[in-house]
Amino acid sequence: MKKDSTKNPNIYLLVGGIMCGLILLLSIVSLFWTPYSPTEMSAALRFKAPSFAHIFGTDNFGRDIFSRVMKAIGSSFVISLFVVGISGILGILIGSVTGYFGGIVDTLVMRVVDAINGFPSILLALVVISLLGKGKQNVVIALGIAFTPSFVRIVRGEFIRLRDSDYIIRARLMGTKKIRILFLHILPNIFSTFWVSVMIGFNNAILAESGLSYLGIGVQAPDATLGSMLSDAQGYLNSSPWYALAPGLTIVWMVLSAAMLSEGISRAKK
Amino acid sequence: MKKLFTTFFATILAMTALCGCAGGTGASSEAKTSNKATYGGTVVVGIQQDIDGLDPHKVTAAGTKEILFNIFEGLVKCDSNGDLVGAVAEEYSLSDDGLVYTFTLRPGVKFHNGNEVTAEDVKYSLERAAGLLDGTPLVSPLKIVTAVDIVDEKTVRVTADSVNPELIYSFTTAIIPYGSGEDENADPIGTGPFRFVSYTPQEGIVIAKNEDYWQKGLPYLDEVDFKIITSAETALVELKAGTVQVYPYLTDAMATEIESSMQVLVAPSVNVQALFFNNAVEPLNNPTVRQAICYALNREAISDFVAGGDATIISSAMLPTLESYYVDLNDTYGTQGNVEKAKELLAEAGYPDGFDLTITVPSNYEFHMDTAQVVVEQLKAAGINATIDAVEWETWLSDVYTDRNYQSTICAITSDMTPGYLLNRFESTSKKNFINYSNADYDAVYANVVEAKSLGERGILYKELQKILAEDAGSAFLQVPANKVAFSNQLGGYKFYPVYVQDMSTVYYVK
Amino acid sequence: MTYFIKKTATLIITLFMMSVLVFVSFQIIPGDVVTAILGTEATPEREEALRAELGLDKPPVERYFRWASGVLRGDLGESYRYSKNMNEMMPVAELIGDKLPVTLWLAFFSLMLTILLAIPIGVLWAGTKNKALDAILNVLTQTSMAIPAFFLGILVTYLFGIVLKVFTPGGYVSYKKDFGAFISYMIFPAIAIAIPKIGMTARFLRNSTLTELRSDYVRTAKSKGVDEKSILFKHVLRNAMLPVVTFLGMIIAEVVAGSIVVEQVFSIPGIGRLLISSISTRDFPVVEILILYITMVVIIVYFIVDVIYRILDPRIRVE
Repeated sequence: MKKDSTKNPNIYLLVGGIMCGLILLLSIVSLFWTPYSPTEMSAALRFKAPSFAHIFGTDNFGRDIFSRVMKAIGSSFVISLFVVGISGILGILIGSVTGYFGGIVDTLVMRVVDAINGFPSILLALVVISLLGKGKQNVVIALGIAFTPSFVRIVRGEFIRLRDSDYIIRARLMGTKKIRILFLHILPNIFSTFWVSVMIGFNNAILAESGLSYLGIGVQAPDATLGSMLSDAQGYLNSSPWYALAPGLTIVWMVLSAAMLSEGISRAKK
Repeated sequence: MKKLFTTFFATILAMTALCGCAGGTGASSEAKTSNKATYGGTVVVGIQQDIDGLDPHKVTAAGTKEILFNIFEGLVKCDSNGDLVGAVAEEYSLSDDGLVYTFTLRPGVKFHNGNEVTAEDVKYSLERAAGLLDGTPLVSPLKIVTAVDIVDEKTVRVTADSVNPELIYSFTTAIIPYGSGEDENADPIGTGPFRFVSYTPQEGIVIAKNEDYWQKGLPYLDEVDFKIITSAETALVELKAGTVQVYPYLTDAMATEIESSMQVLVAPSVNVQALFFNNAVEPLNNPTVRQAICYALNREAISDFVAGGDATIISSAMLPTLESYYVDLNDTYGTQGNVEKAKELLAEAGYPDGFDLTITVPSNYEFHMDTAQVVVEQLKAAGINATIDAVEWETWLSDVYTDRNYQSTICAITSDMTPGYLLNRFESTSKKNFINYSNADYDAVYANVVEAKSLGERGILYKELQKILAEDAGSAFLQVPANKVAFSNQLGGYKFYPVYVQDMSTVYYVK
Repeated sequence: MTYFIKKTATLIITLFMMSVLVFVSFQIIPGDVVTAILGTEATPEREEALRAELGLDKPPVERYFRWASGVLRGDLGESYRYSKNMNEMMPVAELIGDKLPVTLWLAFFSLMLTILLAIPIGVLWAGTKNKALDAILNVLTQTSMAIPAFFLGILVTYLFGIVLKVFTPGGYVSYKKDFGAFISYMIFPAIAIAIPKIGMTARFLRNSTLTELRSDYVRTAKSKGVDEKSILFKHVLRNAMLPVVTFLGMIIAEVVAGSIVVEQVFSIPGIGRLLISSISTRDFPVVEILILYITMVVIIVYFIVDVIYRILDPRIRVE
């Protein structure tokens, strides 16, 4: 196994890195440029199969699917980033405090965390969005809430593990301030574990966001999202299968690249 | 508590319609073949939502009323041209002051239970619908009826407390047996061409031939089975398999898919689709801005994108099929869009760089969502930055319709039979004026409408109202989408009405 | 025993919190069920009458307690939207009882597929020394886990429904009408749900088998010269399967969630479609019970998993 880890991690890291890099590149480029306008319609260009001019073909409004996919990657990327960011930070704050101090607060918080955790995240988001209304920010909030518990659990577990370790006990004896211990002594040491769960969270965020917009409650038309493109495309599956394949395969690509990268990272650590 | 439906129509905003009638011709479509009509047989009709009741005075969903048209009849009913013809009543007369209607009953009309219709039945039915029995009016326009008197066993006199030449349309209200009101929901009895057989929630309703129907020779079919099919894919499967023979309100994509295997009959629907403005909010309270938007929209392109080019383009609130009342105003802004003119008007109104516009759209109506996407793109060319706020139908009802808390919305109004139905809601104090339209000229003309004693007089005034509404750009009226009906090749005799009905009495199997 | 009581208390508290949350949500969500039912043309008198009939004229707190005491007495209430016949509304219990078997069968089929395919794949993978096979399985499972259920649903529809024509998309048949036809339709959505789970479970099984293979007792057995195959099948797998059983338990919860989306794709009238349509039609009694039901199932499954884990692995009891 040891031999493996010197030889193999590069493959995961490399492939994941390249795949992820391409996604990142496309989403950054899409902020400034797309081959065609992602919303411009043309009656003459409806349902064109993939060609050199439109490499992913065109949709029911004659819009260029590749340009729409590019934009959609961008927004999916940004939303997932925010979701992971929010739930990650909340996870650290709540998990560290409850994990380090324990007691009644810990018990209470963990009850709530369990309750949320026990509920399918897409359902939770569905209810939150019914409350707040549709739109990008609300998707971020809804998924942020749904994803926080898993981060809380991981951070809390790590803090419980580390709070009684020798070097922390030593720091405590030296009278170091609690905040210092929490964030300067323990936190840096959990990052390796935390990083992997961030990547997994990122995966799940992409999947959940596309699931929500597939159900018609995520980002709103005419803005392109991978999920809503898929649900529109479903009605034309018989006559224009490329319409569904482009956004669908893009989701697979995004999730796969993040999965490869996290696998690569965790192997590289060993 | 009776019962309800789970989904509205796929593409329209269903506001109530009884059966609607008015002068003007409705398109009627006979089967292309001139094959002979035969008697007998069963037809399965696909419907998109469950029915909300069987009590003809209490149901509110248009999708239910179009089915009940086959079971119930009023004193009068409408034909496929949209004209009122006698049904339970043979004829009627109106007093000179316009307040008293005298109906002569048609001899020999029988209920499905075998009893002949009497004056008592008519009096009871009208009093129940008008709220004279318990104070709860069930059919709004009949509120002005103060008395229903039996003159003799074949004559009934109805007295109203104010003049309304359109009241006659409300006498399409179903006639039911005396005292049967509370039983109608479980065991509906009427005088229509078909009698009720059974209802199974979430599955459908079955009706069978009324052998005693007063119109000789009708209906052709022995049985009609209305089957609830909520998903488009399932409908396509059943149509192709031949287990469903008739399916109205096809989407454009479905029509294309099914064309090769069966007839697709096309006629204008009774829905008026528009980009409705909330006339009370900035900057849409400025008529110049509203006109600019009307100029910016290329309505022919919209119809091409969302309705396969089969829609009828309109510029004001009236169905073109209501010929006696409709006036073509499509020259007001043109139908192909005029971006230069739009920009000019925007600059004049003080918005040379455009402005932000939110369009609230009920998201369950794919047709409106698609239209909204095209509208957003067209407005962009004129510098208006429009965004779509997709909301659930229930949210739309409370936020947009009831609370009027919105900037603009895309939806459709399903026209009633009465010619004034689409126009009376824009009078500034109307409860139904959800666009907050307020125009002194419009109100003045509308005051004359109320005074007008004949439908002819009203017709002239209605044309004036349409013109004011169009020129003042009260809203950007877009189109009357086509109603496409999938119809088995073995069937003939389907008739379109300029109102919301599925008349199965004339449908037959061809030989 | 105290453990059991504690868990039950948690379950009850969670359900209570959930019910309040859903109730409060329905107070805040825009949309009035009365206008939604009657449309825009009903007379105000009728609206008032219906409001009173549904009990919506009472203050919220009173309505909540009325609802809650009903549930405690075993009366789950009646739907606002679905009718039983023309004069009675559909009791929620009956409505859910009607749709539940559909979703349960779907979950059952997917779970069966997962178990039947994931275990052989996982074992084969752990036992193989073939580098190429290892790489292929690695990529395949990784990819299968990356495909969202609804896209898989679309792919399955396209491949089996449109290209191969082995089933008719949208041709769902009720289990009451024709169970054979029901199964031959449901197998395809089940495939869509199962594929990512197969990938996950196979990877998990492979990893736990490899961990076992590296443990001391295997080394001892090997050094004693016991045949490698018999080590794998007699000892290692038995131990490696333990965590997999609990893992499968967790997957049940995910399968329930996954079926919600997949039911949309294949237009299957199960719990998921009922929930989504009831949220949008503001059918509060149905939504409330459905959400409580799903929460309960998930918590109980986690609980059972936890118990099995404790029984199988005595080390945990220390905590």
